[in-house]
Amino acid sequence: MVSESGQSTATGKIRIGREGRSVEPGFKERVGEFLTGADLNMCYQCGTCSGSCPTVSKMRYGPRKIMHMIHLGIAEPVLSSPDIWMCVSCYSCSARCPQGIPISDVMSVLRNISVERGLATDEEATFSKIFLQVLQEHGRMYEPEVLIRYYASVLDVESMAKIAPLGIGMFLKRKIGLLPERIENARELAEISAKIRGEKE
Amino acid sequence: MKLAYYPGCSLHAGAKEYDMSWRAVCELLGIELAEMENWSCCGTVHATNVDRTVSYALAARNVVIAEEMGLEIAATCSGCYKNLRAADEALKADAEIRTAVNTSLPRPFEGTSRVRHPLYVILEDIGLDNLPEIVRPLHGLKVAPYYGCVLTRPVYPEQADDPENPQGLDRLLEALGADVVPYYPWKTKCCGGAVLLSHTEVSIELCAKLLKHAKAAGAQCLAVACPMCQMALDGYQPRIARYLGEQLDIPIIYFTQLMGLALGVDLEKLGFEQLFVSPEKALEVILSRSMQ
Repeated sequence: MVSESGQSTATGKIRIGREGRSVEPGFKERVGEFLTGADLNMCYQCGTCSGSCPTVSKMRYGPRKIMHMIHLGIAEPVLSSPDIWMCVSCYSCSARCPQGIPISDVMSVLRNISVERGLATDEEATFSKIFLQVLQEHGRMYEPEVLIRYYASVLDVESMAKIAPLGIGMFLKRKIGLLPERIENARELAEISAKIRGEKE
Repeated sequence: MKLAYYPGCSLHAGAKEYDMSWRAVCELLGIELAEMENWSCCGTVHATNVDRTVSYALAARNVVIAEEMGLEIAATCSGCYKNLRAADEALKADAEIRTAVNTSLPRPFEGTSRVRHPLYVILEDIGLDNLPEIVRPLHGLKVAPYYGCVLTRPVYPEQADDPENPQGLDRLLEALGADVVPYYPWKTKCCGGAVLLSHTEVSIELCAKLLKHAKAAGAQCLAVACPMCQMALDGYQPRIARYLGEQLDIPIIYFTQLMGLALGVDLEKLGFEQLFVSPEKALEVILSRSMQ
């Protein structure tokens, strides 16, 4: 049988990937690096993860296939898939995996690598990056600023209009402040982040 | 008992009523809350999306504040609770991550505190047998207990409740006199809060399932323990109702508000008017009884 990601060629050999994608040696190890005590080799493809996933219908592959693709080193299709951003981090797959693989964390590591390699084009990736910037500027979250910067960067006027009534409602209930809350030493957060990122390079 | 209180950004903004009611309940239960000075945002799932190590460090910075206070942490928002606890557990278990994080922190993580969620502080440290007098029993109020995803997951070796069919909130609401409707398996299904703003339609679809099943179970309201779930289910309820094409009108009430109500806390300290879907009709039976 030929898997979705593999295809028979005229010579009968299996070429990896429909569009001639190549495998990335060491990809599985790179993903496993940040997962304390987890062994990705333990996956036996039972599919409990995909069966438990509340957003699998929005995904191209779903967590089970993604686990297998990681094994095969099919890095780029995984890292550019919408799947990793459709994961809502609910930990259902992790809680149910009979082999004890923290699949939700695997998905989050994939998001990190996708951002790092500039492959993350999903709206949630844009939102997350802006969220982290605002966090580092004030030390605390200020939703109006995140939202305005986010909608401006994805040029989504329709969503902004849709959320406006809720924003006004929150403002009237004093659930949104006029100004962001700031902590005393907000600079500390950017420094923490810079030190960690510096260490990685 | 005294706890280092980590309110998180929501409880200072969109979820003020959770902060108010939790403080009021603590006062009644004799729990002293010391809000951590200069606490910073936990980073939520969004920081984790960008860089897991940075996310651990931002969370650990807050754990360190509690360590210096010599206290355990009460993190009211399930999202904050999950992020702080995940960092605490990872740094305690993995020397390599701990070293990486500690080189970035002005004051190092020692691993001497513990991250708790208020629901389980009440259940484990106070105990249902030791609750003060139930002044306004919740008899006649049909409640669906909604735990959401990260209150009981990921699963840690020291696990307070079942990840799929937890009982803690059910038992607490029963002890307060409420009629708890069967809400398994929906009680731990996700609201999609992680993508609420970037993929709103996904979250609306997930919330629609939650509210449809709560309604089918006969619930008049949902009891929640997370401001993200609360915002998705309450603030977005008009859009969820439009998606379903049916009337919902199901108030989404913090468990601390219901607890305060039952224990006789002044209503003005519980912030019911802060909720978008008014709980007035659902709570009428309790309030009219207590006026008699």
